[in-house]
Amino acid sequence: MYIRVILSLLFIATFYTYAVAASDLNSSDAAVGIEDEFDDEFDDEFEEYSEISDPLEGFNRSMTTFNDKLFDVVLEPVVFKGYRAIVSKPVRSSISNFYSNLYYPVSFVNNLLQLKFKEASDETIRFIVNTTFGIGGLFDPARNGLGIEPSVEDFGQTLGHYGVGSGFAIVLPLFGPTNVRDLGGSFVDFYIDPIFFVNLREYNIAQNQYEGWGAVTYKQLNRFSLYDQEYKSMRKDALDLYPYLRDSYELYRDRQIEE
Amino acid sequence: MRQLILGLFFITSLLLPSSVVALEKQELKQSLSSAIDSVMAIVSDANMSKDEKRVKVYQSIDPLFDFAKMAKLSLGKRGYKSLTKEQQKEYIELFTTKIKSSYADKIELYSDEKIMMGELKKMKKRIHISTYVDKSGEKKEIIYKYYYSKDRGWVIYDVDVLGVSIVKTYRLQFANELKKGSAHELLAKLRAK
Repeated sequence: MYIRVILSLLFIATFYTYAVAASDLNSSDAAVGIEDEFDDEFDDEFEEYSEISDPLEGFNRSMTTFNDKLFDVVLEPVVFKGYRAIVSKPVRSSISNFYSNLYYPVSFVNNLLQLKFKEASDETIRFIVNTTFGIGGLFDPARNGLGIEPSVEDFGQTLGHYGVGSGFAIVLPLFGPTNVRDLGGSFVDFYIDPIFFVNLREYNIAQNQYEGWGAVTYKQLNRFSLYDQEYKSMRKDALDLYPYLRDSYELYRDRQIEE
Repeated sequence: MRQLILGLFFITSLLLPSSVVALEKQELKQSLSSAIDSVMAIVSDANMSKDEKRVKVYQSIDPLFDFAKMAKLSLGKRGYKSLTKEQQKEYIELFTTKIKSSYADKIELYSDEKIMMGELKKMKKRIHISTYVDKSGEKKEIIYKYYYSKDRGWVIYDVDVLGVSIVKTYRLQFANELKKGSAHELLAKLRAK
């Protein structure tokens, strides 16, 4: 008989323990509590973004349409198709690596400007290793062998790091969405970037402005040929292409600046 | 004596749920990882038609995602409440179809690449699991964001691709559409897509 009493006491004790454990879980893991369909915490998470100002919206829209048509009519069926036939994917990846390696001075300076010393020294090691063992930057043994990930920074990010806002949205032909801060930033970066031609500079690879622009354009086209499917899949997600690309660009840059 | 043993069993079974919750968090990563593996296997299977692949991919991801939550968060409180009950139902269905096919599209882009699991970050009321994919020699991060749902446990309510939240981009898009027209018109646009 007394076994039953003990058992029921045990039952009560376990229920109690379980209840305490459960309420503990509720408070620490937060999970099971009352949950409205629209949690305010979710609102906090998603409502912080304020839209970028867009005085050039009309122009930007036309330019987005132009770029999209350029992609559909010229780039995808002619340029990329021919390019892909001649230059295989690994080679195009290597060309992209080559350009990334040449971007080192820009990245190094901007890491320093943001006082990111660890990243600046990582970039330096990457440049040395990839230029030598990676045959002029065609390969990335620094990443694949040593596990040093790139920490690319540009002047737009440096400005953002010190609190400069994006200004307003601008869409460029071929290069796509950018903003005042980042476009201004790239002109500063051009002064350091060896692929671009700058008067009175010792280390110009290009012989004149045109070759400089040509190199920049080729860099972009080569890269785009590697990511054309991504563009197509993004385009499918858009209800209205222009604001979708503009906002995605802003969110992406915000994230890069944060890092 | 037998009753005592039975009682002990009962006690153990009562204590079990709490350890199950703790286990859940560890297994979350495992479940995501195996779902991704099976999706990748489906996507790179040459013997299946595109439609068959889609159905199978959806089956593997369905238990992980809370698409209804994603839909509601993407439209926002005001937009969602301006719809009638039937419209809400239709909206959730339309959004779910769209987001699933968009996810499948993106995963197909990476069918040749290897996806690596990153760290699990536990926040106050959220769990973020990072994954990485190598694309043309660059490391791209995709973060799966979980919240605890009352009836389904930890489920995904948002995905960050290269630092850009899918819900956030939809929210901005929908806000844009709602500025131009009603939620009703937005629904029509989604239907046409």
